[in-house]
Amino acid sequence: MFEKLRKWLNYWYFRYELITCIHMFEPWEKQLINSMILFIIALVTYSSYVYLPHYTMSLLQYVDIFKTEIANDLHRDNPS
Amino acid sequence: MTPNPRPLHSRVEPSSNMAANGLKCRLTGGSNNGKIYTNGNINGIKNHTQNGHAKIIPELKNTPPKSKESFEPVPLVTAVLTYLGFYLLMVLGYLNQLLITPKAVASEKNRPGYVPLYDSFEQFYLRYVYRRVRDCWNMPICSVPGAWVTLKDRITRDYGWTFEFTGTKTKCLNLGSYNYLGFAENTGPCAESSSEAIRQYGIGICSTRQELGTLPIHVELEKTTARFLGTEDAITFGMGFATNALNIPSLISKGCLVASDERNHASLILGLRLSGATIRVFKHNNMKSLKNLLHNAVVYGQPRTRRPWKKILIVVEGVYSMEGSVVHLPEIIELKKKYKAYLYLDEAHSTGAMGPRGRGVADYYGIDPKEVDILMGTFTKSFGSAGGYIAGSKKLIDFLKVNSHASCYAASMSPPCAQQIITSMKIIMGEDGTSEGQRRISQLARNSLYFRRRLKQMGVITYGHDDSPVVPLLVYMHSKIGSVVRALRERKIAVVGVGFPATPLMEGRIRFCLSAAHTKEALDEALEVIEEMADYLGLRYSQLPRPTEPVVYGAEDELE
Repeated sequence: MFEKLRKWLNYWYFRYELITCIHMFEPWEKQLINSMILFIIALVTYSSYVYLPHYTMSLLQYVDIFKTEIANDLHRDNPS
Repeated sequence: MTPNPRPLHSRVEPSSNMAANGLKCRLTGGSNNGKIYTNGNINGIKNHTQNGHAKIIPELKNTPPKSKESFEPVPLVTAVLTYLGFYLLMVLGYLNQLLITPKAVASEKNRPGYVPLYDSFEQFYLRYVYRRVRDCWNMPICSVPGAWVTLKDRITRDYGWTFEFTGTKTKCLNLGSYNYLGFAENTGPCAESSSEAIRQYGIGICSTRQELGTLPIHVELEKTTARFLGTEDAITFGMGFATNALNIPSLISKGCLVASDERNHASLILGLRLSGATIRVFKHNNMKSLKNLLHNAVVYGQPRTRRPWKKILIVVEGVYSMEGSVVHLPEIIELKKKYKAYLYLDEAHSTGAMGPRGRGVADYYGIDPKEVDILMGTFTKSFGSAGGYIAGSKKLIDFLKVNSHASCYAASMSPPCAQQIITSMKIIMGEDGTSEGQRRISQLARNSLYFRRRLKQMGVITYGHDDSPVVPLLVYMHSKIGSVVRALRERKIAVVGVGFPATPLMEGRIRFCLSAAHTKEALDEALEVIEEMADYLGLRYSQLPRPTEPVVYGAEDELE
């Protein structure tokens, strides 16, 4: 069962290598590029985790979809 | 709305015909079920005028019924990924060059303060891009490259810098040699007559045509070539590349205009540049672009002085070896007559391979070869030898005999090569009394059509004309070129992969060259392997609908 999963993952890793042209490189270059890609993904995930909920909520409140205290404050400050 | 919609524009034809006409399938969005909807809704076409008539789409009237050429554009995602992959290669190459000094390369010594002798980008590309997949090219062979070829195995322990031979050999199906009519054999009438010629005339000539290098065998070869092509006379040279590069300068000079196709071969481009004429490029096989070019040339004349051009020469190839496309010869002849230009047709890949009698593209289209002013070709591809020829009117050939660089300075063709050509031409023409030549020509035609149709059915993108024996399969990405060649070699098929400098950057391809020596069984096995590889490596890029009916080998109507 795990064998099948491992084989499947190996095959799709090979396809990913082909597409991004990593397959042609030497092992140290592969590790370098993979770590850069993982680093960028980690950065994007972390910043989404930290900033995205609060940002989305305030955006939705600004366009009057969710009304909470923050929205009322906004409306009180600039009545329009 | 009538409940009985009339069949308009064949949109409601039964599904068995749908597949045969790619145009119809495209318009119905690929669902070829041929169902007829009532109430004015025909096959999913929703906007319609009254009485159940479907909306008339103008393009249906202007496009020809069945186009034999296909040049499908690249899917966007693939294009983006190819570019990104190339950028990655460049960045890592520069990083490599900065950090690591290679051990096994030549370098200039004692040169501080001097300008580097070699072009730095070429060096960089060779060392850091080409070197990584270098084991797929320059594979040494140990047998005659006929339908099957024996490759000598080699491995690299340091990623392409050096190679070692393992001592083993692999016999592979040869889909990479330009062996169109199967004359690359070391047994048979051609080989025997060539050995006879060595005994009679020796191997080396050691002289040029104008000095002591013209043997009776050369005269016979030229007469046979002229008879084969249907022209008045012909002249032959020892090297095909040199035929183009050294003869074009004697035909045109500064003050002439050359209309050259975008994808012309390096030998033509070299010859044109050497001549000093003005070169204008038109889009590949695009008659409108050529017409505009000629029209502007005749109307506006030379750039600053507005004088008429001394000569206008159109340079095209019969079959383009990287694209697999066939030149639109009838339209070019029409344009040539209208604008009074000369035509130089390079039939390197089409002599012997195209046409019902194997005489080239002129034969394929049924055009008299005397309409083409200068017919050029090589003996390397279909005749199994080496060298090139130029054929045309006697006046032209007499001029070239005196004025060409190649006849004045190049050593003439060696006798066994010449004899091989004479024997193979006689076989093709049928003058040896057998129908072997005709058999080979029809076998090649059947093979190429069958192979191309099967590939189209598979869903991979191939370029070119349905009848050309050169089949480029597009794989776009550099890494895929290397992996496909390696994977196919493991499964005993030898092919050629082509990448950046020879083709545009985005279009990496695998090129199959079919031969009359391939049997249907061998091609079937090869196609099975290719299909497996297409699944394994992800090569099915085509977004056009795939024909579903099974491809029949050698159906009679296909040979028209």
